[in-house]
Amino acid sequence: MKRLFARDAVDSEPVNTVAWVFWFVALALPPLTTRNPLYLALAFLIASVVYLSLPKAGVAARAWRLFLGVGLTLTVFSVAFNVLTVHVGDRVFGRIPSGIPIIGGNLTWNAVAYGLVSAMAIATLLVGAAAFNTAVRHGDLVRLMPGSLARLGIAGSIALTMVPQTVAAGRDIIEAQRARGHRLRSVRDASSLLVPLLAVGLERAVTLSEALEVRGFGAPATGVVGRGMRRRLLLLCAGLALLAALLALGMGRFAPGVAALGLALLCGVQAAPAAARRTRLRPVRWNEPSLFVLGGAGWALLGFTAVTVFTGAELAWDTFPRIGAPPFEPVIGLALLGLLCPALASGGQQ
Amino acid sequence: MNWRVSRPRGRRISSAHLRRAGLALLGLLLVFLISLVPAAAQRPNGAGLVIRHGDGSTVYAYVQFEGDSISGEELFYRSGIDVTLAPFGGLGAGVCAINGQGCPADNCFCQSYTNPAYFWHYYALVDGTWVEQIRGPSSRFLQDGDVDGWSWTAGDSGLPATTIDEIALLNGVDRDAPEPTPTETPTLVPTATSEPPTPTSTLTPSPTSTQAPATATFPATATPSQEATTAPTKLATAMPPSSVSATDTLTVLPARSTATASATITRVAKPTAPITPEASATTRPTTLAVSIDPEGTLTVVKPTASGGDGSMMSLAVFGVMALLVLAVGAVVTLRNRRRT
Repeated sequence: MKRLFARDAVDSEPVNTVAWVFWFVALALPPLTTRNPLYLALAFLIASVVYLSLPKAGVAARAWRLFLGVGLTLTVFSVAFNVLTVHVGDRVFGRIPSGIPIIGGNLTWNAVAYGLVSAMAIATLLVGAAAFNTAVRHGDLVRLMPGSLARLGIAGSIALTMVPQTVAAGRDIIEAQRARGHRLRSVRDASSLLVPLLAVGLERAVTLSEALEVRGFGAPATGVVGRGMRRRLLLLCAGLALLAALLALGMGRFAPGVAALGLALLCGVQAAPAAARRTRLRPVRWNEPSLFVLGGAGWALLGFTAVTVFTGAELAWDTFPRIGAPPFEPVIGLALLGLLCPALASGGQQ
Repeated sequence: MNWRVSRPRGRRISSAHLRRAGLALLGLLLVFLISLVPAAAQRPNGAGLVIRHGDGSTVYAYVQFEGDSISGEELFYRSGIDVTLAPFGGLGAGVCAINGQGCPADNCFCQSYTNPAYFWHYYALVDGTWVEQIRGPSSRFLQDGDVDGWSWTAGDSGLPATTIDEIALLNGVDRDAPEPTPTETPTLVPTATSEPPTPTSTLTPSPTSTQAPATATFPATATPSQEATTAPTKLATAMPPSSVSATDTLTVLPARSTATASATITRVAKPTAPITPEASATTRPTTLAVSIDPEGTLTVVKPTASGGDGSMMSLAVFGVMALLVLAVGAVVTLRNRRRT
């Protein structure tokens, strides 16, 4: 354990990508399943602490301003949208004449509270994703994908890197334009920023596509399953399951719908052709920090799920039609504290 | 290095001035819109809600609102009645269960696949007649005086004939009163439990007092009943909602087959503490609803609070955990600074 917190040790042994994936899934569980502000606040604090604990370089080091800006924008938008479009609630603080379509009606504190809670959920996901992106190399993520989903993984990896690369390019362009004496004053001046940004983005896309083409991306893989009966049956099964899932969800039957959707996904993956054989330069290593982070994420994941399912702990909380104190199950809070492990073993950076 | 290109300043109105003026106008417009809230205290609009359960018990709710209309879904929310809704895309929300009767949200019409098929039927009171609706509550907008009806049935609605005035009176709101409903908060301390029924046909208003004996008789005026079994639904009480708590149970002794029906409501349950209503009827929507079962027992339905049951202890535990996370964050930040 001493080795775990030793400075040199943690610096030299990065946390495994698989452990980070589990951590992010566990962190995303509260914002995706509940609007209880206490659980959300705890998850948000934990994500922020983990993000701050990771040493960042270059663009990532300055990205917190971007996240702060995005978070504030989301909060303002979410609150304003809720207040102006939802007029239900027992705590009225104003009123817009009902003659005005959509926004006409009571303005309630209930809607303000719901907007804030929604914004906190989104902010938690954003900060968690920022920490995940800082700690994990996208190439490692692609290597984790199963062979048949490797192309999907590459496409996802490219999509994930798009935003940071665009931000970096935008900063470079702003600095270059400043050196030329330009200054962004109003919306009309944005053209001097957007046009080079678009040109850089197109140039990068062309370069990327050429690189992918050179590496054989999109070529038929070896060992492809032919048009055999098994594959046809699997595709048929996937199609029927997808149809059943849509019907069930349309009829309001959530559980059978999700089950049918899962079956469709499973059949689709099985029917997908196998990818080309891949080699791995560095095998996945399980060092002590990785096991520590994986243990914390597993504790959070299992604790949150088990307590909710087996004890019937109430996750649901709504500000409509009345606002009340949200319930808080200490065991769930204790489970969420397991997500702090990356901050304690903050050698997870790579 | 900041390079600034200075612009010549003149007496002309610059775009900055125009922008500021536009913002100021926008702000004034917003203030104007928000200030259009009716300042004068008028009788708020009201809509009724009648719910007939499978056992024949009927719930009456009266909801006051300030806008021109209110959706059927919002009517449910404001009535405080426990309702389970499920979204059906563009069709709006469907009612799966009311007061625990019905189906869960993930299988909203679970009892409609058998014969007889039971589900919550939606009605609107049109000229004294219940008319079944083919749309959902989120698609129907009620105006002042409209009444919605819900019945757990496989055939006829079984909803009682009633009027908005009766529903309002049943909930202690007199729609014909010239003055707004009093905003005082009377405190009622009932002491006795029951009393033999005292039929009377005179209306003796007494509920405005701050203290009233529990054995007080609440005389009622009644419309002649057509069916003996629906007699309770014809009752109207002069009891304000603020004078009863959510835990009170009142017994209605219905008049049966009489031309000039009358009824007596006698309190049979005794609260242990003085009852203080949450808020006055003019400042908040009416959230009380009364239920009448086939035996004539009238119960005040407790509004459902969606807020959960967060206790001080659990909040304190949350506070400790949040502080722990912040402490870890501080330690980690300091450690990182030392490294750098």
